[in-house]
Parts: sequence; structure tokens; C-alpha cells
Amino acid sequence: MSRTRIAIAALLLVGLAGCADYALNKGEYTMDSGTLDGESIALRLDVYPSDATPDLEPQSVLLEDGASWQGLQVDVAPSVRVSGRVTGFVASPIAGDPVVPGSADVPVAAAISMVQEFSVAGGATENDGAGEFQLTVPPGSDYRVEIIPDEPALLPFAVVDIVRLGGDLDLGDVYLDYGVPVWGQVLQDDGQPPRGATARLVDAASGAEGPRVELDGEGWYLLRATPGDYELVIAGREFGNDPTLRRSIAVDDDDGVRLDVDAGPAARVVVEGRLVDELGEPLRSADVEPYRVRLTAQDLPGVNGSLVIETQANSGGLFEAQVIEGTWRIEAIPPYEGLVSPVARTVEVGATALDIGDLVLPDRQLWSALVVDPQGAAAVGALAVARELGFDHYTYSGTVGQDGALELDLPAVPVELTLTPAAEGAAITRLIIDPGGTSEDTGGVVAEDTSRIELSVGVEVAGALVSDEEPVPFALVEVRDALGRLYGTAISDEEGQFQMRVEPTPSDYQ
Amino acid sequence: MVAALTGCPFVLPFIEVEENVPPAITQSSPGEDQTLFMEREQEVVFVLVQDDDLELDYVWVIDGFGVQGSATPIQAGSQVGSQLVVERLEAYDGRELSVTVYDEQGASDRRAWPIEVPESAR
Repeated sequence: MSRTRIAIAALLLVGLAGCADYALNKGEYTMDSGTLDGESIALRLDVYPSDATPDLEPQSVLLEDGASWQGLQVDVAPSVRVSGRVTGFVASPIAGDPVVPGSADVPVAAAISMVQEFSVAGGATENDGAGEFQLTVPPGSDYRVEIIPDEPALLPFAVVDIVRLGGDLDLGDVYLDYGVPVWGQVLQDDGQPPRGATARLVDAASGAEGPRVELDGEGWYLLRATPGDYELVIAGREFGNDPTLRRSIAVDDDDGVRLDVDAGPAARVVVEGRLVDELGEPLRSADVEPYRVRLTAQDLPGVNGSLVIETQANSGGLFEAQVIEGTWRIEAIPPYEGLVSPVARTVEVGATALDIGDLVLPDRQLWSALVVDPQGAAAVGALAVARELGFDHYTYSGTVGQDGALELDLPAVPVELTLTPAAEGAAITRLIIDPGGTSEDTGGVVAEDTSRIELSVGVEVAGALVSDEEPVPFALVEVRDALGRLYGTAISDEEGQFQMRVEPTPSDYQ
Repeated sequence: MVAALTGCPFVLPFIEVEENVPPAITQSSPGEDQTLFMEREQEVVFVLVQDDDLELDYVWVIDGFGVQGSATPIQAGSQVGSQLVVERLEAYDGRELSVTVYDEQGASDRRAWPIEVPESAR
């Protein structure tokens, strides 16, 4: 255990008092809280307070074992303060007289963020000239504090676990020990480094990301780390066409670790094409409404990494990108206010330039259905939201009319349709439809006959949000399962009450 | 004055005019005049609206990045509104996020928040 972790473990005792009953706690994750279609599911509520309660922060609440899903009393906890001071062995002094590096514990500039697993709670800040920081977050369990120094070549980053945070907590001095160097050279097959690429370490256990350093002109990087298991990530520059490479690395107490990375081929191949509508007319980008083209590598021979390249069609609908030889998925994404659908195609890119010709973006189309409640009556006023599966997840919405008719102008790609009833007795109902009959793999079951949709009955989830015995009005409440999958959304009323009916099928979109 | 009174006095019948009450954003997160701090990898922003119309249009815009197409309307009992999940991008720092809600008659209300991306997230 590093010195940092020992120091924090001792201080954790301070935070054990006053824990909220419903504070998120991984230890309470069981599948016994309730059932949907006979399957036991533990539910989580993500609560986003509005400006009606400005002192409350977003937080997640796990329903206790065996709790009913009706009459819930959900305690939305007021935030607590987590403070501390970051010092280091080698410092870029940010206060006081110049200090000889390594001669004393001095404040170091760092970014501090807190993350809670399986929750929407968290926060981020930077420390001040004295190295001190303060964050406000809701109380709860399993927080992770990430401390990222501004000088990654001189100091390691630190990850501090807080098992349970019940009240204000002073972490005291968080000391960034010297660590050991992790260094190496990143070169392409022509002996040149990927220009502008960066290197960073990711803690294998927590997923916490360390700071980035840019490779120098010869492809060298230098980072520091405390002993442990990491993933070294070499990322191509933003909006560039170099892949992101990941390598596992174990750091021990010895003299450090050298890890050189083969960045693959330097050669790039031009892929070009033109975006057109169904009439063959070019789709022209405007300043703030561009037609975008996203190329995602599916398989890159000789490269152990990933790469996504995004470009735009020009005023003639033409696009061009320089890619590595391999298999690519090309997605053409229109602006939201365009009247056409996105489209995708997979291509093989060889050693020579590839012109894929015209990529046709089909018109959006009018889709209609009859929507009825579980008793067969028109589901008047139900809100319908269709969300693209993939691409940029655009949404299209409408309301069920007096006769139960629903009409939506939809893209010709699979969408997830969510119907939220306006009246009691029916559940938020979800299904996947494919208006364009594209047969794209949606990862879910596509509904075959959508001419008549019956809302399901589902089960009720209802209760009240309270904070210090006062109602929490006008908060957004999302119902998720322990895996974070979305079942439904509600708003608390003036009395803090919320109510919805949900069905067993969670949303495909998280 | 006498001349003005000659002839048959005639008063047009009253025509009942139903004045459209524009939609009003009543609650939001972040609050009015607040800043959207991108502390997490994604932030949930939402507005709640008071209006008689069932169908409202919400237009979310990040200046320089156009209309945000992934916003979701909310309907829960008598409450209506819209929510948007904003992914943290360094390029959003210093930009403005706004939402304008329109009713079927075209009346509207608007709320906007400056976006701040912490140094640590860039």
C-alpha cells in the first residue's frame, strides 16, 4: 500500500457517522428488491434536483433489500464537504519561495475529482496556491478521489478510495510520493512518431485516468506512477488520423519501467465519396449545420488499437479522409434539422485510394401507429419519443391524438420508441422499430407489426423525495436497475411525490 | 356635438378572443443565471415548463455547435419539460447552452447557461 492510501484509510473513520439510510452502497446490491415479470431486479433512483432546491446535488439512491416500489421515502441528502491539501516530493511550487525539487514537501498544482461508482454523484475542482481543495458531494459509499498533478513527468497521480462518506471529511495532506518513472518510445513503421500523440496511464483497478504528456519530437514519453497495474494509452491527436493504442503495464518498486510501443503503419490511404439525397442531389454542409462523416475502424491489420475519424462534407457534398488500411464503418450523419436519414456502410480499404461514390441518405418518412392502453382504449396524450440506435442518437417526438393515432417523421434507421402514458394504469412502454427496414443489427428485438401498439401494465414505482424532512419538489427522477439501465423518468411534484409505471424492458440507450 | 349624435347608435357584438399564454420555464437545472459546470463526463440539464398546450417544441442549442438533436421531452403527470445529456467536450468551454420552448402558436420562452469546462477535464 502506498503512503497516500495509508493516510486516507486512517482518516476515513471521520466519515462514518450520519450515513443516510438509502445512501448508495454496493454492499446492498442484491436482486431481491422487487420483481418485474417474475424476475427479481434491484432498482436505483437517479435524482437530479432543480433550482427549486439549489443546495442539493445530483445523487443516486439504491432501494433497500425487500423494499416495496410503492410508498418509497427517498432521502435526498444535503451535500457534505471533502477537503484536503496536495503536496509532493518533487514539486512545481505554486506558493512561497522557490524550493529545490525534492528537498521538501511543497504544495503542488493538481486537479481533483470525485467519482462514485454506479451513481451520478461526483464533482471536480483544482487546488489553490496553498495546495488546498474543497469539493461538495452528497454523502454515500464507494467514492473514488482522483488527484492528477499538473506535472505528470515529475509526480505520479493518486487514487484514494473512500469506503463510506457520511459527513464532512478532511483528507489532510495527500502526499504524492515520487513514484517510479514509466517511459518509452512510440514509433510508426517508418521510424517516425505519431505527431501530436499523447501518453497517459490508466489505473487498472479503478479505471482512473492519469494526466497526459505529449510525445516529444522523437516519440519519447515520460510519466511517473506508484507501484501497481496500469494500462498505457497512446492517443492520437484530437481530430487526427492516428490510432489510440493500449498496452497493459505492471509497475513495481524497482527502477521503473520502459515500454516501447509500435504505432503501426505510417502510410495513410484516401477514402472519398459524396453525400447525396434520394434524387442524387449533393447534400451541402452549412456553417453550423454540417453533414458529418464518421469513420470507425473495425479491423486494422498490424495495429493493436482503435481509431475514429470524423470529417465533414463540403459545400458540394464531397468528403475525404485519410485512413489506415483495414476495415472501416462509414457513417454519414445529417444535421438534426436536415430532412434526411443517417446511413452507414462498411468498406475495405486497401493500399490505394478508395472512392466509394455516392452515399445516399434516404428521406425521413412518415410513420404511424394506433396506440392503445391495456384496456384497448386510445392512449390519448401519450408522449412518444423515438431515439436513433447508433449514429448521434437523435430523438423525434410526438403525442398520441384523440383517436389514438400517432404520427412521427422518422429516419430510415432503427429507433427505440418510448411511449409515456398521460393517464394512470399504463406503463412507460418501449419497443424497437425499424422504419426503413434496414435490418441493421440493433442488439435488441425489432418489433415486426407496429400498426397497433398496446401499452403494457407494468408495475408502479412511486414515492416521495425528502431532504431534512422537507419535500424535494420538481426534481428529475430516473429509475434504473443496478446495472444502470434506464426504465423510466418522472418529475417530483410540489410535495416531492413522484409516480410512474415501468415495464421489464430497460432502454437500449443509456 | 349634436351632429355627432344623429343616426342609429350601433355597437358591434363583443368577439371573445382567447389570448395565448406563452409557455413559461418554471424550473431548471442548472438554475436561471447559473453556469453549467462540466464536472462529470456528462451532465444532465433539464427544464420544466408551464403551458396549456400538450405539444411543445424544445430547441436546444450550443452556440457554434448548432441544434442538439438528442434532447428528450419529459411528461410526468401534469409536469412537462425537456432534458438534454451534455457530453463533456473541451470545445464547449466558454460556449452557451440554451433552450427555447415554443407552443403551437409560436409563443416562446428561453433559458441559457454559460458552459465552463474545468481545467482538469481539458
